Amino acid sequence: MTNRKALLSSLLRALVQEWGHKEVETALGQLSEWDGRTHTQLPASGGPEAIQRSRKATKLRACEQVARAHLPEVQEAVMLELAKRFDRKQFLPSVSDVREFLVMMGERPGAMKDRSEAFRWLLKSLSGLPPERLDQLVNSGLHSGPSQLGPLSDAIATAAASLPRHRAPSAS
Amino acid sequence: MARPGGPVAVCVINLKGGVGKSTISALLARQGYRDRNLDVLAIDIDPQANLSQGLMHDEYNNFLTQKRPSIVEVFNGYIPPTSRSSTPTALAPVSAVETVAQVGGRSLQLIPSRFDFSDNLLGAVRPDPRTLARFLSATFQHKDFIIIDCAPTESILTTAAYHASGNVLVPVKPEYFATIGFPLLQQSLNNFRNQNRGHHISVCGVVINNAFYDGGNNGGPEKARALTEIRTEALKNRWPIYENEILHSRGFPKIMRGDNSYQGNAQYFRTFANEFFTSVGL
Repeated sequence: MTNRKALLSSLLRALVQEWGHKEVETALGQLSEWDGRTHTQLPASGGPEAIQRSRKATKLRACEQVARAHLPEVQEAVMLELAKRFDRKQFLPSVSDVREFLVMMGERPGAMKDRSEAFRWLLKSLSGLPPERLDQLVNSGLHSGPSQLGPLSDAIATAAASLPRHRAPSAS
Repeated sequence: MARPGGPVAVCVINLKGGVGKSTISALLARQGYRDRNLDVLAIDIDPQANLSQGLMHDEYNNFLTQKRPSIVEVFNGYIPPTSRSSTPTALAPVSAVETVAQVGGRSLQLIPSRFDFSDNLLGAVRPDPRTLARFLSATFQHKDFIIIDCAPTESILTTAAYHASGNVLVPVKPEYFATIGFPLLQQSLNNFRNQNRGHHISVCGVVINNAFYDGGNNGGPEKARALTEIRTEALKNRWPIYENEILHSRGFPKIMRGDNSYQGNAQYFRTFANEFFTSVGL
């Protein structure tokens, strides 16, 4: 315990020596904003349980992350809709889907361990898109995960039933 | 920005089924967009529509149920009457295109196919095989790469793909019957060249799509025999063979289904893709 506190102190001292007290404090404040939680109070205990609690606290649902991101009004509504679908696993249901989506968006995402963390990358990327494009994503089945043949067969059968039952005359 | 010489258009064809045409088309379209930063248009002219399903996943169901325009309407040149309009309406070219991915000024787009495509087209009195080429030349000159997934049987759709392409990619599996489609394809290309003297079309290469699970012997003697036959037939036709084979992988069907969780050997597809794109000047 003492060793951990000593390590934290030495790290903070190094930061303060390099950037000054005020700049470090500002940076910590910005971190707090981004994480959507207060960093000004360090956990009383730095043991494994506290770390576990702290990690759980950072796993905000996608909707919560959007709500705390202070997006422009026009974007917020549609981003919330996407976030709801993400939370219900109807949009990019696995971390690997998020990674593939981001790569297709021209990004090179770093390591992502879970979907909650992955949504932070996604939020950053999606918030750069115009609302019309976000609308398309909300209404699209392009990113809903592995497709099933059952619904596809049903869609083909429905479409086939609605086709006109005639053939054009042959050339003869 | 558009390429000075216009898009590089490639049709993926083998007049033998089950060689991986749709999977290879889907993966090349994605790789071209993703790793080569190309502006890509994929076109599905196979009524089985596997390329469409492999790029659109669940959205293909919406496309069908919402009766959105497809390659059928491109060939027909109009949108048929609907519940809202009792007369045919003009087809806006972009309405037949589905956007799969988009970043900046480039995109991966698809003209999807439908199961009633061949009935619809082949039932017409005089289907025009130049329709697709005209449609592309009028609207999609800004694209870098156009890839056309063909049906395995020769029809007017094959001719339409030739008219719209300058290159032919021939996937083949190293197994018995592998080269059965080669003479048919060569004959089909020769017929097309004879009837369209000003049109330059060539086979950019044959790609070995490995049917065998590599259990330590890389397919064994049967694969070796089939490869010898493929090389002999390709040489007869002066078709180059790509150096990089596509490895067997359980990852391919997963990718086509929209499951990104496991790629396995499918991740090595890019070695072939790189060779392919270089060979066609991309």
